[in-house]
Amino acid sequence: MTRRKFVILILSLLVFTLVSGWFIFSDFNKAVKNMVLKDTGKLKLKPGIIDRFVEEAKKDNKWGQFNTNMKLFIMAHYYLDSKVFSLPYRSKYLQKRNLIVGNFLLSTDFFQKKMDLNREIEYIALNHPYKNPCSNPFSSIFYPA
Amino acid sequence: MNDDGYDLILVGTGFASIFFLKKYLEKKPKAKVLVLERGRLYSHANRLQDVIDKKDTASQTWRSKRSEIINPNSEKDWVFEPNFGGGSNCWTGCTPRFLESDFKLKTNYGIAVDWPVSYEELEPYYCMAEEIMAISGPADTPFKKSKKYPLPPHELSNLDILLKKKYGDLYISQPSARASSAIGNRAKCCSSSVCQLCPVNSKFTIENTLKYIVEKEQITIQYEAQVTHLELKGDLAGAVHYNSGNKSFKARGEVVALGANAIFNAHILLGSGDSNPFTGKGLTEQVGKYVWLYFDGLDNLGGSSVITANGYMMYDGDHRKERAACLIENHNRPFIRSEFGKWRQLAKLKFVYEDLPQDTNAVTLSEDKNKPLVDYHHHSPYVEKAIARLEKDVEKYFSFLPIERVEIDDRVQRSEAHILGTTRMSHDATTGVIDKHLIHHQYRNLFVLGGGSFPTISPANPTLTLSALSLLAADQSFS
Repeated sequence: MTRRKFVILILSLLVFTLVSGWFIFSDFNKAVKNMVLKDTGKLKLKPGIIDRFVEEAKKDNKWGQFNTNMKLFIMAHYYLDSKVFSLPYRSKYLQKRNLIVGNFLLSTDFFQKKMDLNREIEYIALNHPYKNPCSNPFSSIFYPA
Repeated sequence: MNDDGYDLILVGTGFASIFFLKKYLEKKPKAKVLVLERGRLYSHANRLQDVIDKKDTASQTWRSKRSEIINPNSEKDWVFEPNFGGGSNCWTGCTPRFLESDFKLKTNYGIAVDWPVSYEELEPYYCMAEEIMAISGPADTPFKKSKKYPLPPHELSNLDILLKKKYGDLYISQPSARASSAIGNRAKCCSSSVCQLCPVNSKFTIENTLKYIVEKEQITIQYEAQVTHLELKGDLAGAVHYNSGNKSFKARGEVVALGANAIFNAHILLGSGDSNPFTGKGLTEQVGKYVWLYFDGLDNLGGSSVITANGYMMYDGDHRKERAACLIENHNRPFIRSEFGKWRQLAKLKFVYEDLPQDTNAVTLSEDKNKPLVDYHHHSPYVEKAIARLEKDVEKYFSFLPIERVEIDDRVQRSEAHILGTTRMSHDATTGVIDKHLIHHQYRNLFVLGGGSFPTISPANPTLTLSALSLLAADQSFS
């Protein structure tokens, strides 16, 4: 191994360790908050409701549905994807992001008020089909045939 | 009545067992029956409370029971519910009938085998099963029906309406045991989308509709009783051996009916020394794959249940000579697309393929006599050929919609929660384990109920068919 290759290898390992370590010790809830903030940026949200959602989701262990590897996968995509670069399995990541942001919006009255962009969006309660059954806002209860 | 035992010993309390028992007691109302249930009575109310209190996550999520079987295949799950009511506790309630051609694959397409029972013979029992479960369904279906569904169909979503307009009777509101209006102890389905444990007790379960049967005076039900083996002598099954607590028991029955599931029925037979060469072989289930359609300008709204419709466009036809039939499900959970203004401009479809039973996929005995070895390798090339053209099929059948992009899951589902084909029915013992009345070819007082009886499996959900078969078996075997 040449000296140049050795240096590149060591630097690569260092970068990999730093990046992995950063993800491992990063707060998944912070990534959730940032995702929700970004994707709902054009909506009129009542102040403080994203924080409330993040806090209640944390208390309810909402993201316990994702194991550590999945959380790292989601965070890696969130922080590293850009217009010019994206990690593999992006569509899988987008499905998870849809689920996270969907959980936030389903905890508000946005869909129940039929996606009205002119009104301020209120928080209702953490989306939970057993504590709040019959609340699928896309069903015929809200959109009768 | 049998003085030193029971007229019937029934193993299991799921669909196959309790539908059999219902019809049996109509024929023999004074019969003395012992019911052996491996699990406990874990009521719907207790399950709900435990999920809310976070004491139980198993009821909330759809989990395989890896600890109760030996499953060396890490890619494959087998889902079952070993408590009173069996699979009725965790099923989604999808109840399409099989098509007539599903019973005649050999005759129609030259593949696999024909069933020893025809659609016409089973049709009255389909009607009975639909009545018992109070099925919601449409007037026009791709299969012939002699009676209307007991409850009206679930409402279609606006996407379904477009597909219905295009494909007519090949696209229907899904026949379902999720009640479209309140009936008996069941509430109207309100599309909460967690059917594995319905929050409003809408779907049919053994507990909410048929529990009264095991409460009859002449029925003895023993919970936490795991059957280990049967005494098989000559042409008869004699005593049933089971463990309960730390003790072993033995009971005698004039008739024995195994209604566990296709893994445990086969395991009990093998543990009893059944030498039929097909016992345990041909373990099969459907293969499912999700497809996401992202629309441009089409909101996917409405629909009154979790799976609103079934598409039959890829189901029956000459393609079955070389590749699997496929039933399409339109899922209607509250999923979204995290893009401003396009929140609900997407659809989630599941493409469910039939498979052909392969003898290399089998249930066998293991070193642990209480645990079957589930030796499942892979689905067949018949399915692979069908899945290989999924992208083309999506293009063919859905491109008339304003689609922005299509995403096909890279993997098939780990399970469809249907365990089928380990005690296949046939005309005689040279080609299968049981006859069309679900009676073992050799042991003529032994019924082997459930989805294990299917010689081929169809892409349609099996519960209604296996329930109808239990009704037929009891009705035609007892006077």
